[in-house]
Amino acid sequence: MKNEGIINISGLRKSFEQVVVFDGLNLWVGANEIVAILGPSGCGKSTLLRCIVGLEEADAGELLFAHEEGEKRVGYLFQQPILYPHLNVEGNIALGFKKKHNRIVRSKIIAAELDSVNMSGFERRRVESLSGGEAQRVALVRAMLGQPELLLLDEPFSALDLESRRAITIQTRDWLKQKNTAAIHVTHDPEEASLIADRVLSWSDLVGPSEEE
Amino acid sequence: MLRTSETVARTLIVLSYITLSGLPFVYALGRLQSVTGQNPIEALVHFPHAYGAIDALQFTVLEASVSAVLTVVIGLPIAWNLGRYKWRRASVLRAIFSVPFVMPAIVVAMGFLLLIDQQSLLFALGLDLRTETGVVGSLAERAGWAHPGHFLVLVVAHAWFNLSLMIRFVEPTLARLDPAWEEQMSLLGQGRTKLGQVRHLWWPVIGPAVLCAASLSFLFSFTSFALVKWLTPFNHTLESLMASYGGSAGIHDYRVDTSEIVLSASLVQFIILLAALYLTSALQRRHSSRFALVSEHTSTTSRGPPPMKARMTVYAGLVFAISPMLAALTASFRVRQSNSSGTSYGWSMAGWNSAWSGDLSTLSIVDALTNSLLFACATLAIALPMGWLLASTIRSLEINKHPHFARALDLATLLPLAISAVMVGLGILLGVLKTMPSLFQWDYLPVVPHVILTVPFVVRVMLPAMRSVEPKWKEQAQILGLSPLRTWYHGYFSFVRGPAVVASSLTMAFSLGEFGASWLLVRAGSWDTLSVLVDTLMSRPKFDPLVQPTAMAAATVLMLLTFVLFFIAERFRPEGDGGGF
Repeated sequence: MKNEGIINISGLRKSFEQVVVFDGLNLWVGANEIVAILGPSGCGKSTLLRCIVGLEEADAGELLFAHEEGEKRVGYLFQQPILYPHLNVEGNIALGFKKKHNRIVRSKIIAAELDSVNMSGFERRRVESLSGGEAQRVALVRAMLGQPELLLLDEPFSALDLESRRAITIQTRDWLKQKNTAAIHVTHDPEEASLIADRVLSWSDLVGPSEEE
Repeated sequence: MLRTSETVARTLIVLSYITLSGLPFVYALGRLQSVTGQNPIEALVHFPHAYGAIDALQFTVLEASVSAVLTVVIGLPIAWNLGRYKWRRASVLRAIFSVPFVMPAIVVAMGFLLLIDQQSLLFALGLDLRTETGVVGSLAERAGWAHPGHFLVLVVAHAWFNLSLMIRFVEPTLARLDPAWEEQMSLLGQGRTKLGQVRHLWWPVIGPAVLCAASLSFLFSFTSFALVKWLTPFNHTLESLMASYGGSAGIHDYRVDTSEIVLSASLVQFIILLAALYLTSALQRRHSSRFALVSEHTSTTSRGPPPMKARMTVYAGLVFAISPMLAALTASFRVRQSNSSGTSYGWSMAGWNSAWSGDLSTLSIVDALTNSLLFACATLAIALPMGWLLASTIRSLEINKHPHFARALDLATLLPLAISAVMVGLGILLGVLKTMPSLFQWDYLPVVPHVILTVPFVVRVMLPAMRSVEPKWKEQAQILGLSPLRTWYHGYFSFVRGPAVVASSLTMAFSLGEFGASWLLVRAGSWDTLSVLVDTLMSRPKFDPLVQPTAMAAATVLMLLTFVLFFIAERFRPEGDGGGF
């Protein structure tokens, strides 16, 4: 099936041993579109994202990307930002480059990206010293450096306080729009979903309730 | 499911390790069995009739039990106070308290001998623990207890040696326990009294760690050799009994009684140590992170700086920890001078000069140091990759849901600790060498027991580190599209690099200080290690005033080298690491 969006998922099924997480899941995301998926904790939202990015293999169904040829350009933001403690902020962000740059160019790009998320001067900071919001913004910058055509956001702001969460959600939306990047954002917070998304779907829109075999 | 090639490679490593560590013991048993004509059951039955065996067993169990209790009594208050308050230069304090464990036993023995000799403060205060006159002598006479002074010094030395076990196991848990747990307990009915808090909070939190440290302390005191040899010369442990009869054991039609003693004693020791290891392993599993841990900074800051009582406890512990080392250092400069007016002591470099130049019968300090370093580097080159691969195999088995195989292999890697250094040395001497005498010509022979004895420590350091590497690091690297090599580096190696340096430093430190096996195997003289050199020098008649300063100079070099290695290890140790080693 040829799709015209960024990703087209149909009839996807995933189970762990005896437990079926989801079955018959369908989802379509258009170019530059931000889709939010609302669902309760434990319903399988994260598993879906892990299937899309390739960390888990689906049991059945189709998962088609717009550009089937070449490397898939999918970014991922985990619930807890995964920043390597042996590297500083700049070192962590530099891992996101797809191409090799000399050190000066690399530093300039990273400084500009950090500036765009209001984190100028954080390049040499140790990652342990960052607040939750700062760490998540560093992870976001790193994910976007790979110029993904689809960014997967796995409740990345859920650990933040309400005010920070609102601010970073709006900032992320602006950033995604500015860079013409599509995104799937999973969350259990309807306000967060409506703040970031062009289209909000509930988990039951995608799939029927989970069942145990 | 593990891939076939990987499974084959891992199986080969496991088999080669089990062969390497088990073969000397099996060879030794086989040889002793053929000399004595006794099978293992008969040997065990014969044990009570073997000359000196029951006395040695009683003494071993008694000294190991008392040493373990004393380690808890001395170590727990220090660990408690160190872990609960915000200390300035906490890492330096920790390093000083941890150094005793890696100090060569021969150096420790010398240090304690100096602390109780006739020029010591204890002697001046009327406590003659060496020749047992005065108070100690009358105690011995009244209680009918031969050499209580020697026993006391031995168990205190063991407690000193194992002090760091208590601190490394207990202190990190206390230092990182979420203060909210303690606050919550104090607000509950059952937690209003001190006893209630101990029963419902502190014992569940640190109890398994305390028992684990105590059982390891029992194990190391049970197999202690150099300390027993030097501090309790009139008593034998099973280990020293085997060592003293080892020279004539295993030879057909010659002193068969010695072969019988060694065979039965080694089996009894093996069974007891196996039980102790099993207990340790079970306790280590319980000593897990069931409790809410926060960063050390958060936890200790909430309790503030240490009060006076805590300071006094920790500073007294510091004096205890550095005294034997300081005694060895100062004795290297202290030379006896005898003249017509009597005997006096003066300060000079004569001992160092003598150690530096060596003489006709002993190596110079430089040559012995070179030998020690060569053995240590060769040991490291084999033990580190072998220990790493064994640890990663155990981890793979755990991940791939083979918990029983993982546990069995985990226990198998501990087995060399149950065989003891002297038995490993004897195993090679009696078994391998008497089957293949040409191996005696091989200069690097001591590396074999060093590898056998250090691999368990590499596994113990690497395994917790490997267990703590979460899959998310690798997944993140894969998502970022890093190459397989960079994924391995950032997602795995960067997390186990620090522990690998710790394991390397400890391996070298243990190899440098190893005495039991080296003492049995290094016969050539020109291949003496520093620890063997110290023993050789101290065994000489003391009419030469330079004997003690020369030995102490060699001991000081060994001590300093161990210090350097240990401080390198400390720099790379991850925060909150409490593996005991």
